[in-house]
Amino acid sequence: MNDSEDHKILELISIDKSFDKGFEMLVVQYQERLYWHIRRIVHFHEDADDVVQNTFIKVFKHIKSFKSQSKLYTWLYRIASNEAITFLNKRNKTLHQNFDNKNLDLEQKLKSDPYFDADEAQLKLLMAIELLPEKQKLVFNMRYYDEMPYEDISAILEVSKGALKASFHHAMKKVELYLKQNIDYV
Amino acid sequence: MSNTVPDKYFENLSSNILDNIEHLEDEIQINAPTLNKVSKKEIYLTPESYFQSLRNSILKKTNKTRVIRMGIIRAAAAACIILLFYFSSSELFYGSEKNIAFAESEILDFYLENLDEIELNDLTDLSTIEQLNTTGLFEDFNADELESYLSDNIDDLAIENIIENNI
Repeated sequence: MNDSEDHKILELISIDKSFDKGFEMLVVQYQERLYWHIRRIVHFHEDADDVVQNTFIKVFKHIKSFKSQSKLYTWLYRIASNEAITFLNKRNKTLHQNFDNKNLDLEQKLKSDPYFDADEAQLKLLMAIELLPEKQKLVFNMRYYDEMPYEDISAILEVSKGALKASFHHAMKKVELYLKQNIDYV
Repeated sequence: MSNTVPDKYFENLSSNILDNIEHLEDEIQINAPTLNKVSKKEIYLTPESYFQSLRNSILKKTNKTRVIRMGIIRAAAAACIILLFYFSSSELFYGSEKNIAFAESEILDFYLENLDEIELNDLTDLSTIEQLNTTGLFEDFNADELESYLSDNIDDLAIENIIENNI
């Protein structure tokens, strides 16, 4: 997350003539990071593809109203997180499955997905994360996979650093317990 | 947008980043040894050259959004112009008709109420003008045609007298 690069992007976007160039730079700069962040929430490539495109359309529509009080990348992550959670909520409403069935179904689907390649422990870790409440899941993913500082997660989720530290600690404990109960090789 | 950073920010940046990562690793090692053994290798895959096509798809969609937005703005502008024209023209046309109708009725009322006060000379002037206009009707008639017309229409008057007194 290069601040000077963000500054350049925002400067180009602020001028009508260079808006397209600035927006293209933004897409190039952030598409992969946002895609992986979304993919960890929705799991499947096709869904992540839809959500990331919708995220950038939202960004395109609202980028001119972006206030530089926050970092560009935390603002982008917030939009991406909201889009991904909205997508999941909509999907869950149409599926009407109970929690256990939903996770069993997810595990089966992931195993047969050509764009999924995890060993047994990684799959169990994913299922453990899936059991966490929505916000704790986000905190865990951003801290564990993206190794994001609490300060940035705090800006994205609009939660205090103290609350985030506690949330990550609880999430880690729950994941550890699940792994201990479900993985044989340790 | 500010370009300033806190004092000694860049001097401390690398150590802050390392502290942060080390702290995360320490935290996991101490609190979650099982989790610590799980590989962090990426488990999700994407189709080949996906990110190149993603960029194109996003830019294509945003261009489409822009075209739709411009279309909506243009349609709204056109609707505003049409509404503006409709209201201003109807005001103009209905307003002027109303004014004319009002003016005619006002004149009529004025004459009816003030007939006595209108000078007789004015009415005489009006009749004179009408007379002058109608006499012009006979200018294209020659004597024979006029004689034939009068004999057909006014039997009881001597043709000679009429010619003498009126023409």
